[in-house]
Amino acid sequence: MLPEGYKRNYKGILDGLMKVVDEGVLMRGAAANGAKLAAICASMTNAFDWCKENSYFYLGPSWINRFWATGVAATIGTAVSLPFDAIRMRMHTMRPLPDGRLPYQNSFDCLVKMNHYEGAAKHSSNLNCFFAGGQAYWVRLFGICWVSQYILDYYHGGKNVSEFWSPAKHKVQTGIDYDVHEPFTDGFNQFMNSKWSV
Amino acid sequence: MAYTTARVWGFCYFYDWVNPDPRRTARLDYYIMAGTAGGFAAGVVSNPIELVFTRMQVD
Repeated sequence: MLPEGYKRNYKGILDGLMKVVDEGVLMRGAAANGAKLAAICASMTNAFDWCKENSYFYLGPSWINRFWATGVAATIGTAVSLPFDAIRMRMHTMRPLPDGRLPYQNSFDCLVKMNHYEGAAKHSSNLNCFFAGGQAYWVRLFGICWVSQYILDYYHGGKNVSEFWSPAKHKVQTGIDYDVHEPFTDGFNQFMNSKWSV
Repeated sequence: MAYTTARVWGFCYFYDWVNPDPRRTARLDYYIMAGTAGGFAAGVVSNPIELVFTRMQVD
């Protein structure tokens, strides 16, 4: 995609890492990358759990619980982490300006400059500069969360998993939360599963 | 507004520790802080790989 002179032409991860070390920028954008993951970890599971448990009250063991809870969690995860991802992307891929200076000094400087030059109504723009590519980002996040829950189901349904996870063996939906399921509720879950599971 | 927010937050948070009334509201759990700290650490550690991977993508 880039013109030939602009390409970095890393042969692989190891080659790239060595060139990055030579360049001296191994930790460039680390704060933004950390903030992005922190925002995802701190925001998504709470919303997922709340949505799933509340709709479970009305729907019982339906696939809809997992679907809509994952959708809400992915939306919140996108809203809080994409700004940091945009900063991380710029920090990771930036090149020197014609005068030799770098456009951004650090992640916070990048945040301030994006907000000042691109996020202002004065420049006919708004905070959407932090959310460019948000739809693809949401789809990717949703897909990762959706697929990984079925992989977890498969794992929890196996023989080498402790008794704590036994609800998964009876098709009670688990997710990325750590609820303790007490016996009465689990018995009722199994009854609902046997009668009305969809 | 900042003063009032801090004042009310301080009352709600600290009084909850000494209030003997059993009808207290639920406190925030600490998973959110664990998520923040763990996520940040993981992001910093994985930054070199992300950096190289992103540069290979945009090439």
